[in-house]
Amino acid sequence: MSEVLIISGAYGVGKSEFACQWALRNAPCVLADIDVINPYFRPRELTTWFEEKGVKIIGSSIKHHTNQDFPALSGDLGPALHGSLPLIIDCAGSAHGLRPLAGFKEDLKNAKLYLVVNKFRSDAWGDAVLETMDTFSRFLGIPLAGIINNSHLLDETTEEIILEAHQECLMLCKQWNVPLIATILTKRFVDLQDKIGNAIVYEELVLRQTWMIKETL
Amino acid sequence: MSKVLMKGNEAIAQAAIAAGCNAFFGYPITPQNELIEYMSKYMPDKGAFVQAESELAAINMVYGAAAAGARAMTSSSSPGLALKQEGISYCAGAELPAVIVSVSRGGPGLGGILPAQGDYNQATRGGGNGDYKVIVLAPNGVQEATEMVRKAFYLADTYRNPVIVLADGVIGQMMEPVEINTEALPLIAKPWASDGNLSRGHRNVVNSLFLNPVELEKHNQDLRAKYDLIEEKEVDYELSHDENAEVMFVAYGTPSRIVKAAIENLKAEGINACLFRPKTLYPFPYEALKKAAQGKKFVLCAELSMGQMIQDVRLSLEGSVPAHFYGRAGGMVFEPKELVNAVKDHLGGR
Repeated sequence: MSEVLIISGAYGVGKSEFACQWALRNAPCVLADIDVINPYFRPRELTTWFEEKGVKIIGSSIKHHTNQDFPALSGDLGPALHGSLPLIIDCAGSAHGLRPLAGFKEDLKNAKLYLVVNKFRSDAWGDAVLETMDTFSRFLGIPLAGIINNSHLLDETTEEIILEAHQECLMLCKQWNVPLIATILTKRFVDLQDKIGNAIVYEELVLRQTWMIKETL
Repeated sequence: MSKVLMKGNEAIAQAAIAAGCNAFFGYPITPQNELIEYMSKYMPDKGAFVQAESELAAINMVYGAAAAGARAMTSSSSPGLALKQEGISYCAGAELPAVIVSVSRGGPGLGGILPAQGDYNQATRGGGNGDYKVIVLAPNGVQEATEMVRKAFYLADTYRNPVIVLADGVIGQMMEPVEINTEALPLIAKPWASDGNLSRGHRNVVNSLFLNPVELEKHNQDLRAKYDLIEEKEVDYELSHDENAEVMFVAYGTPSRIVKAAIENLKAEGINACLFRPKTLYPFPYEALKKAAQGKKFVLCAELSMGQMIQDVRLSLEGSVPAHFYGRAGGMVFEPKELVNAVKDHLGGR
């Protein structure tokens, strides 16, 4: 049985980017993109690029269509759950996003579930997270293993925003009795690593082209 | 209100509600589904939300609501906008304020779901019958999209005319920091509305049928006078970077952001370029573009199409400056380096 990590969270918090970054750090591995809700900015669009870096992508089973309204859940997911490589599963936001996993509950008993949160997204902070956590854990039948704090405002992020959200998230995790696995930084804030302790630094964004950002991240 | 991170589609929907939209009629199509989804969740508290049985039904519901005095809106994407054209002509003919958001995708026909700009012609020229014009606003980011939706309601009410906000799939699907203007957009009196108010002593009838040719010609002349006023007052554009550059890009929407990255790359290679970005596609900034292009070696029009706005660019320039085109289609989005190479090629391989 492979080591399985499920990345989930509310819609738009940065789950897919985190899944990509985590996969690149843990290559060789398999990244299963099972988001059947969002049509744009998907890891499955970058299958060849990932494979060159030792990350096998499981996307839609209709291989030549990377962008679809109706992505077909790939049959490769089942074998990957029993493979030798670590498996990272990137789900769509909300409990609907977990539905493709409903048929694999038995295989996911030992999986780890991480929830990505972002203070600046609606339904992705405070009490809303508690509700999401509860819904997701019950749906999958596994406890939440940790929180990934991805609070940011893209190129409008400041040091104060990061430090304040990190402290707030530490308090929330304590209340929820869940470990804060990491706080995400972009390379502009690499110096904050010492203050944060458990930071993960994104050198470059995988799913966002540089021209989509006005300033350096 | 402080900034939050929002997807373009949901930000547009929230901005529309904040601008006083109280009647929304839509039909799902990718890549604008989050917009209608947001409306289905929040509009019932503010007014009417109907998921219509088709795009045709939705635009005709907009006609009905606008005729009754509502701030009415619909949204769709390229093939859906095509289906709405008849209703848009009727709205224009009946002088009804209506806001139509289109989050464009690749075509023709069903095409694909990725971003494209092949709808410039159908937005600015229209597919409906008759002599009519629709104001077309083209945002290049999520914040600007929210501001343009607000402006669209203002312009629609002011001129009693349909307004299209022409976004593209990237803007609809992209997350960006945004702050929605929640200040109330003042209501403009609509004494012409067919709102059941009989105290005026007569019944208001909203119609685009004029069987008397003299009256219909007069109606067309009045519409033309209105469009003249719109062309005089509402042209909007951005001219950025060094105005004395040797090369000028013309781009709207998402490509204008790619152009900005290309300009920085060109600068590093000693080539000075600037950007002219039409923010209103109708009225098109013909005179401003011609003036900005003077003294340039050439203008490069960059579009996610096989060449549509380039026709307006050439009309603007009247042959005064060479105009070249670079485009990708089908959902393929060009990268800054492609534009850099295109400029270098036109400069003779510099």
